[in-house]
Amino acid sequence: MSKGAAAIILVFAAIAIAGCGQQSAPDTRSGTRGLEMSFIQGNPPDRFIVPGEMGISLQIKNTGWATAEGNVYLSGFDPSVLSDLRNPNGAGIPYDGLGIRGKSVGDSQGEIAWKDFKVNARLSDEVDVYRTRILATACYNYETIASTMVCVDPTPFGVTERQKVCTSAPVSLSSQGAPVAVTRIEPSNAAGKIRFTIHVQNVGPGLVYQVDHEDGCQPYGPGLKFEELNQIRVESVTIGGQPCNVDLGNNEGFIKLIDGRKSFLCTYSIPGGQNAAFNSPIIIRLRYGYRDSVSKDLEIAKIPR
Amino acid sequence: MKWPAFAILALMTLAGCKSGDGSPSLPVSYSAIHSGTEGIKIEFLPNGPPENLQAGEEAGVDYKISLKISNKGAADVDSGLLAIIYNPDYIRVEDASREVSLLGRGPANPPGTVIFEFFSSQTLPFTEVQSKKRETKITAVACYRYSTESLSDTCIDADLLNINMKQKACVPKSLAFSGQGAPVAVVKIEPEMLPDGSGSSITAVRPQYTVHIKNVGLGQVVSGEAVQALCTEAILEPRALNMVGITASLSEKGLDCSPNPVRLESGEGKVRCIASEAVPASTPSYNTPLLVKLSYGYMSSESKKVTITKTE
Repeated sequence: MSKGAAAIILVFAAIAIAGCGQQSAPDTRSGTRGLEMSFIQGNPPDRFIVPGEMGISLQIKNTGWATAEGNVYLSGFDPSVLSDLRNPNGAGIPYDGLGIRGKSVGDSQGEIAWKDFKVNARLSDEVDVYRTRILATACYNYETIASTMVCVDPTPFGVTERQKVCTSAPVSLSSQGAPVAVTRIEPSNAAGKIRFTIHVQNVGPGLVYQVDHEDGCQPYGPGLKFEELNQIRVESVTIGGQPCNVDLGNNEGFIKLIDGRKSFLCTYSIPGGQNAAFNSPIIIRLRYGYRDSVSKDLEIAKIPR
Repeated sequence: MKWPAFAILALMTLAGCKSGDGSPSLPVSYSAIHSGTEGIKIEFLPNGPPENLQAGEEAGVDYKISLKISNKGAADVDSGLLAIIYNPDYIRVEDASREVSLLGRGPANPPGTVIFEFFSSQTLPFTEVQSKKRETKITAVACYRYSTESLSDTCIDADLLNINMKQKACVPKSLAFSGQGAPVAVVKIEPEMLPDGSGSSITAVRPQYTVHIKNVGLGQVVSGEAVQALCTEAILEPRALNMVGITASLSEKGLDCSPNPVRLESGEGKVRCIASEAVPASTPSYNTPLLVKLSYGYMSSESKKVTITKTE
């Protein structure tokens, strides 16, 4: 083999090796949003000349990690001006279904869906221009899964000098790819058990409501009752696969955010026979409904006579 | 060398090109047409008449009263009356009143219609031997039916107590206006959502609007039916003064307005218009067109002082 050929092979090998570096998995459990919506530019346009059929199109992107299931609704317009609004569901309340996957290892962007509506726009003889703000409201069920490592120390107050793998201390968490996040976990040790105070916060721009209560969320419904607002269902808290007993009083598995925040307790019984401190994963699952919206100003006008 | 001439020609061509895509300019907008606080405007043309006139002991002098009449508002004037008011002891005017019609401002004629009217007149001779000078005023008046159109977008919000926690596309708020291309204007509209029905739960709301009206021009308001009497010798009923009729509609549905017509007090008045149909409480908030039309008679005027000097 000539020196030139050897040199070329070495260069290619170096490039290949450099390109092969250890690749970390994309972080799908980060971010503070669930669905992000936007009107497609030009659909509707800022100004529409009547009469005619106008299109309203939405791009809905799931920037969180969980699958969003629910519906998106259009409101804010006079039905005598924008009439016969048609969507895949036919006539009636203008809405369309949502079932959009979140980010995953194989899809770091999250699924994007497009929702199209058609509407007839007209103005009466006496009205030359009409201005309004169209509102697109998404009401969907979502989930937060927060996981981190916590230290389980069976002898936090032990007098014996012993080197420990970890010490029990509060843990702050970053976002979890959802609009509701666990922000902090504070341990409090007792004999044979650890009580964790778990802090939850609405870190997204929208409104939290009780899961599966979409009828109250959607703009054409009766509205959300006070007891349905800011309700989050605590699905489970586990440490190392073992349940952490959640104490929510008489709220039947729900916590209610106040000013966007709430804390609750769970008690973990340290398995018998453990004498040394160890790290263990804590996994907190929360489920809730979420409402978010986006608006667009629109002018409907006639061609002047 | 030919290139300097070519370069000059190219520069001239480029200078003649307009910037942009060459499309014609858009017609004047509705809001531009429905702006301002004038209806008919009267102006004396220069020297029509001159400020100094003459008359002798035996005969007067002929002159012209020359007027420029403009419709500065958005409404059309059909069969309005134009009249000259003068002192018959000093001046005579032939054919002192006549009908005039002028189209209002529109997309095809944004400034509005302008016409010129001429009146033949004469000064009368001085009958008093000692009198050498007379000062008098010539007034041109226009009496016409006019209308005001106020179009705005108002918010219907059926969540009266704001307890449904719905995301709202809009919230009702008072609207203020400066002028709609007419001498009587809607200056303010105050919306209110009234609960409909009785009981502990509100199932619907009925929108109500308090409409504030004002004479923003310099003339006199009168009911449309009595406007001709302002410019003629017909008897004008005092109760016809300052009366304005009103119609209003919300999303093409008529509102019930009261009082109607409304009497302006010190140039201002207030009317309450309420929807005949209630809006269910489950309806999400939305913007809708609110159209208010005022109909009335109006008198515009313009005066000019003249001095009549006796000729020897």
